[in-house]
Amino acid sequence: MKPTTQNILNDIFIIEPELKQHEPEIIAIVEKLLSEKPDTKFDIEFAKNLRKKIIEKQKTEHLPWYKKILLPGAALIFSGTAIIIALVVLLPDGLTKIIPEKNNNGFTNNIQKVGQNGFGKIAISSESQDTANYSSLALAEETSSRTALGMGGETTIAPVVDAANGKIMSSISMPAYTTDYLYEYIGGEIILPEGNLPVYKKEKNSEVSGQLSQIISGFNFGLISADKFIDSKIDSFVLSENREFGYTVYFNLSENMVNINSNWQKWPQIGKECQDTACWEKYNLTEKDVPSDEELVSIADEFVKKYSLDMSFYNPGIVNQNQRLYYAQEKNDRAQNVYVPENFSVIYPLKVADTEVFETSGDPVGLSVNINIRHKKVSDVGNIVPSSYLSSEYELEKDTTKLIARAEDGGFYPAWHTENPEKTITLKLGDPKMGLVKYYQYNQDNNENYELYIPALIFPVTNYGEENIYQKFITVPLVKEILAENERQDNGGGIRPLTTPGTAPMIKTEAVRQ
Amino acid sequence: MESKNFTAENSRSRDAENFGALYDQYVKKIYNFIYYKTFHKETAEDLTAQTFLKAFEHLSSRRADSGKFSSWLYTIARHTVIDYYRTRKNQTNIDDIWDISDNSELSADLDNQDTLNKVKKYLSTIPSEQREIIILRVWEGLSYTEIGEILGKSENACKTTFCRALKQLKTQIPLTLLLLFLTSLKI
Repeated sequence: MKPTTQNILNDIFIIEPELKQHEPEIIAIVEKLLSEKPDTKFDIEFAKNLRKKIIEKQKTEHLPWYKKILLPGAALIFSGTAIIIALVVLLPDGLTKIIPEKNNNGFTNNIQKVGQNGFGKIAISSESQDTANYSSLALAEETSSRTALGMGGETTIAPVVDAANGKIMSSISMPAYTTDYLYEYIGGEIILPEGNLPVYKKEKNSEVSGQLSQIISGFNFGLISADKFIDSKIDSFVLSENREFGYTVYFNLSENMVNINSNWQKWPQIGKECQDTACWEKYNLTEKDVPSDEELVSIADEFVKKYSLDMSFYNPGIVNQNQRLYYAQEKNDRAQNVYVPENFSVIYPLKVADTEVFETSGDPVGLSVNINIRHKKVSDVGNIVPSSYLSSEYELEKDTTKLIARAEDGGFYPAWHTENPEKTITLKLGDPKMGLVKYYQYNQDNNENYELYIPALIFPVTNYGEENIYQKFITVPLVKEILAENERQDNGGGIRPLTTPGTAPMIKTEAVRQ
Repeated sequence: MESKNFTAENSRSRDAENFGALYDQYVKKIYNFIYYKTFHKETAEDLTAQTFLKAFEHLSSRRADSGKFSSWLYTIARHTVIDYYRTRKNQTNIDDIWDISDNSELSADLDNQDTLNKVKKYLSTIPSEQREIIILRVWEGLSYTEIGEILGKSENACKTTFCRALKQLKTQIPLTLLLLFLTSLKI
C-alpha cells in the first residue's frame, strides 16, 4: 500500500469504523484513483506571464492622476494655457501624491529577463579612452561619499596668495603619508552560489515623455511652435509648491527619476541679513541641535508616508552615519567651532529581487531623505527610482582565493601603498555578505551611461572605528569579466585612507608661484 | 494553508500588501483545481487568469467577514468555471466537465481523455461536493483542514463527506474490477 493511501485511510477508519470491514475494497478504490490522477500540465511560463500581466494592471491602476492622463487613449483637450498650468502644480494643499504611488499589492520589482550576457561587455577597459568618464563618474561618487571619512584621493592644495599684491604669503604644509594600510581577511570559508547570477540594468523609459510631447505638439506658444520640432519629447519638467516650506519636484523622464528639493524661495533664508562672521556664527548649530537617529528616521518615515512614496522595494530607513562620523572627527580634532551640518540623511536601502544594493564603498544605495535639523523637516529626497529592470546572467568568479586576494588588495579600487611607512595599520576583513553593487556601463556608441547592479561580495572591516580606521567595507565584484578587468587595471594608486591632520607630522613644501 | 506570515484574521489590507506572495502560493493550486474541472490545459489557464484578475480587481471591495483569502479565491475559481460552462453550453445544470454527459462534447486534452473516460464512469455518479472532496484529498493531497477552508466546511464535515463518497464509489465500481486492480497492485 502506498504511504499516501495509508494517510488517507487512517482518518477514515476513525470516523467510519464500519469501513474497516471493507478495507481491501477501500484501498483498491483509493489506489485506483491515485493511479488515474491526470497530469495537469502546469506551465511555469504561463504563471510567470500571468504574474507580469497582473503587475502591469496594478501599475496602471495605481498611477497618480498626472500619469493616468498621459496614458495612451486618454481623451484630452487642452488649451495652450491649460498645458502650462498642467505642468505647474495646482494642488491646493501641497504635493500629496508623488510617483510612484504606494504599491499595495506587494509584487517584487518588475524585472524582465534577457539572455545570458545580454548587456554585452560590461567591464570598463582601461584601454578605452572613455575610461576616464567612468572613472570620474564612479570616483566622483565615491569621493563625495568618502570625503567625510577622509577617503579622498587628491591632495592638491592651492598656495595662499595675498589678494592685494599677488605674493605668496606662506609655505604650504602638506601631510605626509607615513602610515600604510593593509587589508587582511580573517573570516571563514566563503561559500558561493552555484551557477551564474543575474546582473540588473535599470531601465530608462522615455515612453511617458513621448506621450506628453504628443499632447503639446500641436500648440503654438507664441514665440515658438511645438509642432515644428520633429519627433520631439519632453525630457524633464519641474513642479513647484507655492507655500511655506514648499518643495520643488524635478521629473527626469528620460532617466526615469524623480528628485524632490526644498523650494528655496519658500524656505527661511538663514542669515540673509548677515554682513560679518559674528552674525553668521549666531546661527551655527550645536551638538544639542542634532536629533537622535530614531527622531531622524521618524521624520523621514512621516514624509514618505504623507507623500505616498512607494517603499515596496526598500528596507527600513537607517541614518547615514558618515555625517556623524565627520562631526565626531571634527570634534576630536578641534576644541572649538565644530561645524554641525545643517542636514542629516536617512537612507532607505534599495532591494532588487530581494537583494540589497550597495555603492562600491559598501554604503547602501537607496532612497535618500535629507532632513534639515534646524527646522526638523525633510529638505530633499533623492533617488526616487522606478522598479523596472532588465536582468541577464553573467559568469561568476568561483575561485574564492582570487576573491579574497582582491579584497586584500582593496577590492574594487586597488589599495595604494606608501614606501617606507613609519606605521602600518591592518584593516581586518570579516565574513562577506552577498549583495548587488552599483556599477556603470558606458556605451561608446551613444556616449550614454547605464546603471547596472552587479553581484558582489561585501566584506565588513571588523576593526572599523579603531585608530583612524574609517573605512567600513571592501567590495569585490563577482562577475568574472569585471574582476578580471579590475586586476588588469593599474589605476594609479586607488583610494587611500586619510590620516587626520593631528596625527601625521607635517612637512613643509614651497608653494609654486603661479 | 496560508503562509505562516499571515494571521488568521487575513485583513484586506494585509491581503493587498501580500497579493504577490499569495499569487505565488496559490497559482498552481488554483490551476490544478480548475484543471480537474475542465481537463483542458488552455481552458484551465484561461480560467485561472480570469480568477486571479477578478480576485485582484475585487481585493479592495472584499468584505472583511469573507473569511480566509484561500476560501475566497477558490470560490471565485469555482464560479469562474461554472460561468464558463453555462455560457458555452447554454445550460444551467452544467458546472464543470463532470456534468457533461455526452462524451463527444468533451474537449479534454488528448492524453488525458483516456483517464477522464475511466474516472468519469464513477466520479460523475457522485454529488459534485463529494467529488470535489475526493479530488482535493486524493489527487491534490490536501488535508481536511485545507479542504474545509476551500469549501467553507469544518474538518469533520469534510471527513464525513469523504467517507460517504468512498461508500458511494464502492457501490459504483464493480467488485470484479476492484479485485483485478488489487491483483495488479500485488496488495
